Amino acid sequence: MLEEAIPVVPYDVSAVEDKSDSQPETCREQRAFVPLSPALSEPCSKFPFLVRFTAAVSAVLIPPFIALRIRVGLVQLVLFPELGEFWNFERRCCRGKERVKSFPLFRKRFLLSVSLGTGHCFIRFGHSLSILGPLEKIGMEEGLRGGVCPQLLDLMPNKRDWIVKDDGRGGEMKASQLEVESLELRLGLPASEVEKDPSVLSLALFYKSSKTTTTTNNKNHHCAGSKRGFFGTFESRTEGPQQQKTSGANLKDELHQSQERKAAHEAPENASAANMNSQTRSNHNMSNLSSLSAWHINIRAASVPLVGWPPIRTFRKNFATGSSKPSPEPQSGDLQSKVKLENCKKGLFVKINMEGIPIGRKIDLSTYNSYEKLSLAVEEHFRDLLAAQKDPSTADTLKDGEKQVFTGLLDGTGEYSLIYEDNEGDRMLVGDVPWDMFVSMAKRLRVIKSTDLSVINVQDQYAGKELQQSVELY
Amino acid sequence: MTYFPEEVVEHIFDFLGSHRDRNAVSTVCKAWYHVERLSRLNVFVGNCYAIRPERVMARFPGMKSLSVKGKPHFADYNLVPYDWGGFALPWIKAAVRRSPGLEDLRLKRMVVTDDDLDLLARSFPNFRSLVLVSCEGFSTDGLAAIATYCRGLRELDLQENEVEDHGRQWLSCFHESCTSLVSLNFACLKGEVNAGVLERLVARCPNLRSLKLNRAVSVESLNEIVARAPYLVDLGTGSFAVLDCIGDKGLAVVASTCKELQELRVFPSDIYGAGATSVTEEGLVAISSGCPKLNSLLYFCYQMTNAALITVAKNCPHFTRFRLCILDPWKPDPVTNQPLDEGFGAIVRSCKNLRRLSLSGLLTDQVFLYIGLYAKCLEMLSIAFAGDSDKGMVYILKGCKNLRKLEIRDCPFGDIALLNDVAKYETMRSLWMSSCDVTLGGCKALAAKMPRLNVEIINESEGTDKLEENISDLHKVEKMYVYRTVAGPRNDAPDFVWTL
Repeated sequence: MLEEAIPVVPYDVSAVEDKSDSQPETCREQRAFVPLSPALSEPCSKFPFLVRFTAAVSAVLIPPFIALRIRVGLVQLVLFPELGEFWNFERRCCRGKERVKSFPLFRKRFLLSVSLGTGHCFIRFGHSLSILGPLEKIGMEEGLRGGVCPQLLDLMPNKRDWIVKDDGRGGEMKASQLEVESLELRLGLPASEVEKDPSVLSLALFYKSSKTTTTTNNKNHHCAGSKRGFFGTFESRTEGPQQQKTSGANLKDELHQSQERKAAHEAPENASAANMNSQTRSNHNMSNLSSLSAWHINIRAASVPLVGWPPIRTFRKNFATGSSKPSPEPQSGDLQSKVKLENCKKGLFVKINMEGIPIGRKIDLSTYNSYEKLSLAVEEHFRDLLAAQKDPSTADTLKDGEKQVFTGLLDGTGEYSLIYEDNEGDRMLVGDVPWDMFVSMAKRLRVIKSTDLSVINVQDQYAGKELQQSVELY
Repeated sequence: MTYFPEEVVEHIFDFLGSHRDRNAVSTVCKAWYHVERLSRLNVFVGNCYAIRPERVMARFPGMKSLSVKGKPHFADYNLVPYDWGGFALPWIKAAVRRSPGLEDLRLKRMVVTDDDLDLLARSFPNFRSLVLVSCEGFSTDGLAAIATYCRGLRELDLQENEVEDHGRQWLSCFHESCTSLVSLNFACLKGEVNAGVLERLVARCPNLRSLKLNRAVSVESLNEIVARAPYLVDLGTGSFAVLDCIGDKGLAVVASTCKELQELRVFPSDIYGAGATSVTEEGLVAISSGCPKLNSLLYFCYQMTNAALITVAKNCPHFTRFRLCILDPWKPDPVTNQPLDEGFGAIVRSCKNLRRLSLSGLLTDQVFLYIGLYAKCLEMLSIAFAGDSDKGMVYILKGCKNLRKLEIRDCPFGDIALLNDVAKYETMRSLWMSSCDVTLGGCKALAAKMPRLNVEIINESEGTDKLEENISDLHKVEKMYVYRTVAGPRNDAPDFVWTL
């Protein structure tokens, strides 16, 4: 029954393979495949639904735990290795940094897949990490058993198991469960405010105990949301709405693809049917699966907008966002241009520092319109300084070296990487969001060694903690 | 019926301006059909693929003015691939052969090349007016040809076209003896024009009444122009679009001062996130209470409430075009968390003459029930991210008797809705559905049942060039465009367009 109802995946799975697959990895790569439980033995890729997104990863201190926080736009997921559990936190609790201390680590592109067969889902960071739980453990209780298992990777070299154990501890919670009631992951569309806007979508992502969320904040989600909505997102509604909407997910690569690539936007009905009139849904085989098949996280905050939305002609968009190509600046009393000038960035100067160079610079982001140009500018700024610091007698031979120093600034392949700090102080890798968004978000730039991106030694940061693991994530 | 000699009938028909009226009288009887067709001067073709150009010219030998539309409306938002079609050349060629007396040509959303413009310019000695709206495929070279060869040109109106700038000083191509210009609009051009040439042109055209320049023209030049064209009625330096950064307060000011306002368009300045200065429902309510004559609205905002829409409906019952775009899909009323069904329902109930409607925000099937029930004059409906089930679309198709164009994107409407009343589509100009739940099988069924519809599937994913390649009938089509036609399947469709 499950089989025939599965909708055709609009994307060829193989086409969405992470590009890093093809890159030779260093010996630091973790590729141990350890299935969660004996019953789950075959790799399953049957009708996986893949979404690529970029998340910022940071280590958070939530006494007495240390956890990994993965943030995608307004969605965040906190991973407790010791508990072997995942939590989601209300954003303000982390953002305010009142209760948690957060140490940004890096920002990386991930692949998120849901396997329909087993009801498992996993996140891949390249090849090196899968976070996974059987869906019933994380809130999915639809009849989605299949018997096949996606690949799971052991995170720790010493086999410390921080993946959820499949021992049926469905509803058991630890002490922090008390916080459950106020914990609720909310997804907001870019325009909405997370806290107040009731239209914020609630994503019961990886949430283990579905029951408790039902009582909280009704206005923002549906009880059923956590039960069924592993990836379901729900509009806030109070009286029997006919549908739970899923917002458009963009299955596109974050870097802009040609416009011919449509947004993989599916808006099938959610399996709110499970709660509501499933009869009306019975015709729609697709929608019965929609909770899984069409998981939709609104990640427009971090990714490219829907194709053709909003319905504005291109020339107006360019004009309106002030990012048009430099047109002959009119001196006419053109109302339009006046408005535009007011809108225009009045020179966006941000500080930029490079590791190893004490003197920072300031660059004007508004003079660039693409990441390539920015990268070139960064190179220009620091090339000389870098040369001056090195042995001047070997200046000639160094020139080539310098050039190499600065290549791969944006994609992490070079010796250095360019990161930026946004208005919340989080550090992100440059290049993942559309240029305009980046310009509006970036407050500060840094050029750091690429190696710093990937190795985190938790022990150093938390003196006195037993945690010995050295987490290496790509 | 009393016998009227043809001359009398013809004289009566002269009073019929609109092509719809003329279409109507031509169906009365053969005699009237003949009288009408021989006397029709202005021909309007709403869909260039609905009928072959030659047939049009054969029916209306006296044609002096031709207006043709090409691509579907959603092409404006990049939903239609560039080379989908809508070529002007067949029409121009047919007119060259059959209607050399052509005087006016108006093309909308069509592909026009420089060669087409060249052919046009050289072939019609009486050519007076060229209007191109949202067209593409030509450059300033084509404009140069028009300027050079169309002696006696009265109107050159370029609206929102994509024109390549080949740097040619096309404006200088207007001959010194060209003094007939009445209207000139090149606001959409990006390139510079020679100020002196422009000033001289303006100076020698005493009949110039409307002039719309692009942003490259300087203030000094503007001064000169205005000085030399004292009879100008309409002067523009680019479109004056209202950006939403004027905010609700700004709109309130507009409301208090512009009592005669009939049409308003408010565009978003920042589509990525709500700025503090964007507009909300308050602005709209203010406008509606201050400008009772408002009949046409295009409004982008970040949120809307049912209460506001109900108020607007009460204040402005004269809307003929109401297009509301809430920038976040599926956004409900922020105050009540309800869908916006009631608000839009109030609009259609109150505005009896509503001809065009665009919906947005969180909407269920209920709103379509209302629309089907009340929007009897509705001719064009644009839907995005709305509805729960096939019922929504069925309500529309059943209820809106005058519906001509229906365009839907990202709604859960499937085959059941599509096939519910297939005869309906012959009463409409076109139907567009993209990212809905319509399957290939459904489209095939529609095409099989209705031979006088072209059911086009636009399929842009790689590797599937031919229809015959194992695509299951259950496969959902990305984009479907259905239109009535007497011309049969078109022969200029690109590979990714399949006509079933």
